[in-house]
Amino acid sequence: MTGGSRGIGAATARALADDGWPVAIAYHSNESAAEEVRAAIEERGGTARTFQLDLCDGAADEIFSTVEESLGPVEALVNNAGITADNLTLGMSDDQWSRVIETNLSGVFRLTRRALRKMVRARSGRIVNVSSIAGIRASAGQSNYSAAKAGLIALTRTLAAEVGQRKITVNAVAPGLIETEMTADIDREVTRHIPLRRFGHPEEVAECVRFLVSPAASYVNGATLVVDGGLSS
Amino acid sequence: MAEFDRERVEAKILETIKEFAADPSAVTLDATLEDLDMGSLDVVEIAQVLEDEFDVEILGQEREDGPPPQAMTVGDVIEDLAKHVERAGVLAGG
Repeated sequence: MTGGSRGIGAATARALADDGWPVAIAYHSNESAAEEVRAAIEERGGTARTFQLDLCDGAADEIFSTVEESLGPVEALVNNAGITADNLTLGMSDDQWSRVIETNLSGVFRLTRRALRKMVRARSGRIVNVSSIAGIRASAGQSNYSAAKAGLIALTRTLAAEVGQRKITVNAVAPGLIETEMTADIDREVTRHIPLRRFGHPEEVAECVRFLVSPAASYVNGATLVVDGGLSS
Repeated sequence: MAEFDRERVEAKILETIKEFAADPSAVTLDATLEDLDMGSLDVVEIAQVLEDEFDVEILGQEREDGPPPQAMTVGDVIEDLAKHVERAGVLAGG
């Protein structure tokens, strides 16, 4: 579970632990928040460990091996970590562009490739990529983020076609506006464009991820589940 | 990896192909992967088995031009992968 210390990631880590999954909570910088998630999971009788992971530094393989040593084979991977560096394209720096693509897309590619090694051999596995409605519809000021999130949807479909024959499913969720730190500065006036007239809660996205990694979703593969209160409908 | 032992590598590749094939008795050097209902994912997975067996890194090496995986014969696969193992061993200084 990458990006597991906060928001959607933290809610998903808790939901998966409730289903009995031992959870590896990968965080980038907020160790104390990750530890809080771990403590909350353990208080409820679950198992969780925290791991510092920078998706840009090429250490993903090493961290992944550490997770395997600590918790056993990784049977499900939730690629949730994501950053934003918003700007209109005209004013966007190369660094803003590449940081977001590197973390939100290339980092997912590398971690997924590593996870698939064992999943392919095991003939089972679940991968869920947390995309965004920004990958489906226009989101002015977020060309880097939108391109990465659209890329995740394409990556999801392609992976589903590549490894389905090994009984591995790969799906995506595409959240809309969810109450997290990432959306804290967005004017709530925007809710008038959302049919449900409110932002979503991280738990409402977590439930969708929980479904996609559960046996109940055994025939769902290559899908993108939009969780946006009807915003993109 | 110690010294490159072609015979051992080729035997391991053939053994793995038989393990993966739905009908191991149909595995001959002239059979194509398509004949065996196998494909590119099988080739990658066999490469992974070789990496673990011989402690080399061959996945990620770019493949030279050649027939599409389905059209490759078992003999082609053995030759191609053995070459990759040899090259990886040399690169690793083995």
